[in-house]
Amino acid sequence: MTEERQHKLRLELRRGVLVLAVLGACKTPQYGYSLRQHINDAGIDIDEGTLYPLIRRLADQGLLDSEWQKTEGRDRRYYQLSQMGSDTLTQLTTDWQHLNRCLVQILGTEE
Amino acid sequence: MELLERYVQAVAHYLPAEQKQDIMRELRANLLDELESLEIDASNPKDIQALTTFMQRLDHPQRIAQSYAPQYPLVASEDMGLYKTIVLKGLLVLFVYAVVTAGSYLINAQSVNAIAFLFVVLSSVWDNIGGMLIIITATFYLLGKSGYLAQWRYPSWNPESLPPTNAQRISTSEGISDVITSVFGLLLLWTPLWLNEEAYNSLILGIAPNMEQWRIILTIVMAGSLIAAIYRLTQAYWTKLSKSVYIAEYLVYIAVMLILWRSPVLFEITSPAAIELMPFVNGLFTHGWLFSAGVFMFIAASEVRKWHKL
Repeated sequence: MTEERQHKLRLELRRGVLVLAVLGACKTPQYGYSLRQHINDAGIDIDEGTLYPLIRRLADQGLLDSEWQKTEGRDRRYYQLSQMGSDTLTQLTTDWQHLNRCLVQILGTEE
Repeated sequence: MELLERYVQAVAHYLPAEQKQDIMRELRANLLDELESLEIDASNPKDIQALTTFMQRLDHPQRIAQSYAPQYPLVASEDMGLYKTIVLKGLLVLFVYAVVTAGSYLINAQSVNAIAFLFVVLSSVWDNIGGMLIIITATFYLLGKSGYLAQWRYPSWNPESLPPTNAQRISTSEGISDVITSVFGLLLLWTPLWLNEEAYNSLILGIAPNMEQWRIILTIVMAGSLIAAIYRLTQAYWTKLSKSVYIAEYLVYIAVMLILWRSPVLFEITSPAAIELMPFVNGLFTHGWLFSAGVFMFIAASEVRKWHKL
């Protein structure tokens, strides 16, 4: 398999997980850069060009609330889970755990 | 700072007007945070190289804009099947219009020129195809964007209605050529009706006076072929019935040709200037009917074999 094809498959695999990661990280208020740091620190590498538009899309879908605040002398848009986002995160977390258990069984990677 | 602002403006260029200011403000704030973490001062000329590298890593402004505000495609990939079907049907409508246009052109020009007929058909389709594609594409864009297309994307169906495994597709190009041949043939048969006296008298060939009944017989045969060809253009697959009718058409043509082969000459030279060509024309048609009947028998036999496979 070509490197490019493998890269695309990895991107597809990560796409859904990133939504879950962003929703999970937005339990506390986060602005763009702090959110990226938060996710990177947890071990998921995500670039600016992917994350910042993704946050906006989730906000447009009503999963995140946002407001502009002035901190450290600079305007920043803070995002936090909305009620709908919170419900969605609960459901997605359950789905993720179920999927994860199934995949561990299929892939035979359980210790 | 100027370079950063130029980047933000470049992204804004590709954004929809209603979201432009809000996205610009947010992008600017995020980029300033990113630069601060990298200890790059956007207003310091010494950091220009680092800033340039950062922006190149970020990506092309158009891609960033596309990520922020994805543009709805003219035709979404899930609508392509429906789009192709509509374009094909539109082409058929254009083609029918082109044949009518070409027929009326011959009438207006008082001509029986087959090349001119074909040229008008092709140029009419060519002239209108661009407009048709624009209208269909714009309709798909507007309906797709507003979500109305989803209901027509996969119309209701049941497994019983799926074509059988031995289904044979009806060739659209053959249908088109059948329609053109029939329309042009009918126009030729009825030149006395639409050509003025001067143009009619200038024709070198005409139906012999003792064979006038053949004008009616051939009209019935060609009109039948035309109706069947138009019907076939609306169908995707052959059925036993439509294939039977198709074969029957060939059998009728074969019978007509064999009768004409044994009959007095159907066409005669009507122009006194070309009367010396009469023996040549007689020989050409006599052998032509037989040869054409042979070719049609071959085609009919091949169609019978296909009928058995249905």
